[in-house]
Amino acid sequence: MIDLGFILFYLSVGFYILGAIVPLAFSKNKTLSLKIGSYFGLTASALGFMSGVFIFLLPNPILFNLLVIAPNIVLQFYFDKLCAFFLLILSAINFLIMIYSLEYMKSYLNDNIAKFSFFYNLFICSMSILFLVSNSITFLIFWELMSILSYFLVTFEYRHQHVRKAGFFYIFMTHFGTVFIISGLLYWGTFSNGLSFDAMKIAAMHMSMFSKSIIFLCFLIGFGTKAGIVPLHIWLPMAHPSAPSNVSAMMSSVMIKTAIYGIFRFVIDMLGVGPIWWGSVILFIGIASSLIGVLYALMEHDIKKLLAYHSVENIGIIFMGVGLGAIFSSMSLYTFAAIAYCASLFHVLNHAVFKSLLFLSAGSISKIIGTRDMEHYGGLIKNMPKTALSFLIGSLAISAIPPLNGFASEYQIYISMLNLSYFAHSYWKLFAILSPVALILTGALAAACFVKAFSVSFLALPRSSEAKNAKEPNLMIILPEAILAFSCILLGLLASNILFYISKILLQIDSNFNVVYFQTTNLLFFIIFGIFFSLSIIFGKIFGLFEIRKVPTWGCGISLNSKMEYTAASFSQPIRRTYSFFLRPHRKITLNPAKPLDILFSEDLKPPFTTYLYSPIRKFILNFSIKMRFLQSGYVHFYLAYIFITLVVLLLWYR
Amino acid sequence: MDFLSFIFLISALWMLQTRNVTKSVYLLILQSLSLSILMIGIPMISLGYDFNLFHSAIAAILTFCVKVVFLPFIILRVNKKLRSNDLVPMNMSQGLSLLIGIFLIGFSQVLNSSGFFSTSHLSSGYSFFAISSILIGCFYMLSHRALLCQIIGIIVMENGIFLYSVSLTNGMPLIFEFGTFFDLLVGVLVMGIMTNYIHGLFESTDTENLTELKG
Repeated sequence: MIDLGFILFYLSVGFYILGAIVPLAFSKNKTLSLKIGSYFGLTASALGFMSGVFIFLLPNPILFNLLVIAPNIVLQFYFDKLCAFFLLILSAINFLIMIYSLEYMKSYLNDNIAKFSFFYNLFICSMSILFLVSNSITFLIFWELMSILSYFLVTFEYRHQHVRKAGFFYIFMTHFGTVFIISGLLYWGTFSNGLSFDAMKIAAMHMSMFSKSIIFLCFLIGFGTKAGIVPLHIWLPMAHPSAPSNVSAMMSSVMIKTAIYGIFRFVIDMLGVGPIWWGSVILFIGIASSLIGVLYALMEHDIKKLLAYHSVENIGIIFMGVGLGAIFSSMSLYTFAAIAYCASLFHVLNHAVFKSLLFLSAGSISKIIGTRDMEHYGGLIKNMPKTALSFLIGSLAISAIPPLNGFASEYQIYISMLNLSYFAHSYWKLFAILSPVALILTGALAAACFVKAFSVSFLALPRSSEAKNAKEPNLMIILPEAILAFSCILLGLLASNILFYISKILLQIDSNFNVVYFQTTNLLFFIIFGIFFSLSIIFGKIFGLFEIRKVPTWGCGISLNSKMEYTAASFSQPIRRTYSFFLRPHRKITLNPAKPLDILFSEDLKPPFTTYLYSPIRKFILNFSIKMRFLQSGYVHFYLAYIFITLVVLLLWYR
Repeated sequence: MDFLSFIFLISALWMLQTRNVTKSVYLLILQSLSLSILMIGIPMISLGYDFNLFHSAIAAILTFCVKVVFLPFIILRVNKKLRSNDLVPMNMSQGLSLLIGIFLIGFSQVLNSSGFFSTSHLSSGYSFFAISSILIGCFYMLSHRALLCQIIGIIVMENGIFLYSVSLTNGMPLIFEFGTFFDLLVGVLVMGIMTNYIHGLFESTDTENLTELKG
C-alpha cells in the first residue's frame, strides 16, 4: 500500500522525464513527437493521480530520504495529505490538458513541437516534485525550475514582440518573488539546525514573534507574487494571453496554486499561529485582489486577459479564506479556522477545475476565429453548441451561481466571514461585517463579467466572417471540456463529502483543526432547481408551450445587422462609469471632417498600478543607471583596476 | 624548497618590467616549472611517512603538461601568428610597475605577518609567496595592455592560487585539480581565439581599441 504510492510517484516522474526527452529524438517528425510527448504525459499524470490517491489514504505522514545532493541537503520527500491534495489536482488537470494538447498543438506544427513537449513535461514534473519535497534548498531548486520552464512555455511564440515582452516581465516578477522566498527561508534557517522542514518547524516554536513576522512578510510577498495578488498581479494579464491556451490553463489553474501550497506549508503548517494582524493582512489583500481583479476583468475585451484577471480575483477569494483561518487560529477558535482553511483549499480545487475549463474553451474559440478579441465573436452558439455549453457551465461556476462548485466554496468562506463578525471585537467588527459585502460584490461583478463574456461571444449575430463560419472543434478538444464541465456540477453536488476529506488534511497539520460536519446548501439548491425545471416542463407539456415558432427579430422594418448589437465595451460602460474614481477612463473621439459619418470613439483606462507604482520605480532605476554610466569607461584595465583595488581593500579590511 | 619559492616569486616580479611577450612567456614557464616541483616537494616535506607520491606526481605532471608545455606553446604560437615582435604597450613605465610590484610583495608580507593568515587554518609557510603571486598577476594584467598579457596574468594568478591550495592541503583531491585545469584550459583557448578575432578587427592587440565596442 505504502510502497505502491511511492513507486507510482517515481514512475510518474520517470514518465514525465521520458515525455520530455523522447520527443526530442523524433523532432523531425512533428506529429509523432507531439503524440509521443502527450501520451507519455498522459501516462505520467494518470500514475501521478493514482499515487496521489494512495498518499492521501496514508494514515500518518511519512518522511522518505531519497539521496544526498550535497552535505546537509537531502532530497527528501514528505508524503502527507496536503501534498497529495495538490498532486491530485495537478495530475487530474494535466491529464485533461494533455488530451486537449494532442489536438490543440497541431496548429503549432510550424514551430518546434518537440521543444514544447520537453519544456511542458519537465514543467509538470518539477511542480509535482515541488509539492512533495521536504527540504528548503530542494524546494527552492524545484521552485526555480518551475519558474524558468514556465518562462520558456510563455515565450513559446517568441516571434511576436509582445510575447517576448510578457515573458521578460514574467520572469522578472517571478524572480522578484523568489528573492523574498529565499531570504525568508535563509533567515529562518539561521534559527534552525539545518534546512529540512522538520528542523525548521521545531525552530519555529522557539522563535521570537518579531522574527516570525519578518519571515511571514517575506513569504507573503514572495508567494504573493507567484499567486498574483494586487499589486503584484500585473504579470498575469501579460503572461497568460501570450502563452498557448493549454499552458495558460495549466499556469492559471495549478501553477499559481503552488504559492497557496507554499503559504499552507510554510506559514500554517510550519510557522504556526501568529498574531491577529497576519490573518487580517491576508484577508485585506484577498479582498483588494478579488475586487480589483474582477473590475479589471470587466473592462477587458481580450478573452484570455479577462480570464487572467479572474485568476487574480479567485486568488483573492482563496486568500480571504486563508486570512480568515489565520485570524480564527489567532483567536484559538480552531474549528472555525478549519472551516475557513477547508473552504480556501476547496476553492483551490474548484478554481483549478473551472478556470482550466474556461481557458480550454476560450483557447479553442480563439484558435478557430483567429483572434482573442471578443468584439469579433458573436453567434457562436449556433455553430459550436457543445463548446458554448461547457463555457456556460464554467461561467456559472466562476460566478458562484448555485448549485455549482464555485458557489459551494465561496458559500463556506462567506459563512466563515459571518462567524468572524460574531467573534470580532471593537473596530474589527466593522471590518468583519464589510468583508462579506466585498465577497458578494465580487460575485456579482464576476457574474456581470461572464454575462458579458458569454453573451458577446456566443449570442446574437456573428460580428465577423470567421465567427459566421466557425465549426465545432473535434472530439479531442470537446472531451476534456465536457469532463471538466461535468466535474463542476459533480463537485458542487458532493461539496460536503469533499469538504470532509479536505478537513482531514487540516487535521493532519494540527489536531486542533477538527471539523465534524459541514453545512452545505448545494444539494438543496440542486433539488429545488430540479423540481422547478421538471414542473415547468410538465406545465409546458400540459399547456402546450412547446410549440416553438422561429421568426426573425422584429426591428421596426429595418433589416438588422451585427453593427447594431451591444458590444463588450458598451456592456461594461455603466460599470466603468460607476467605478470611474478607480478605473479612470478617458474618452477619445476622433472626427474625420472629410467623412462626416466616420466617427471613432474609444475609451481607455489608466491602470493605476503601472502608472503610480511600477512606472516611477522603472524611471528611477533607469535614471540611476544613466547616472552610474561613468563607471563604465570601456577601458578593460579600468575594470581590472576595480577588481584589483577591491581585492587589496578587502585583504586590508580582513587583516 | 625555499629556493624554488623564491624563483616562483622573482619570475613573477621580473615579468612586470618586461615589454616583450616571449620573455614573459619564458618567465611564466620558469614559474610554472618551480610550481610543479613544489607540488611534489611541499607534501613530501610536510607529510613525511604519509606522503602519497603517486597522487602528488599525477598533479605535478598535470601542472607540468598544462602550464609548462601546453599553454605557453599556445601563447607563443598565437604571438608568432600575430607577428607582433614590437614592444607591448603599457599603462605605466617599466620602473614604476616594478616598484609597485615590490610594494605589493611588501603588502603581502604585512598581510602574512598580521592576524589574517597567521590563524591556524589559513597559515602556511608559502602563503606569502602565493598571495604575492596573486597580486602581482593581477597587477601585471593592469599594467600591460596587450591581450596576450592578460592571459599570462591570469595564469600567474592561477599559479599563486595553486601554490596556496597545495601548501594548505598538501595536495587536493584530483577532481578539483582536474576542474581547475579544465577551467584554465578553456579560458586560454577562448582567449586565444578571441585574440585572433580582435587582431583581425583592429590590426593590433591593444586592449585600448576595445573601448570602441562600448554601447
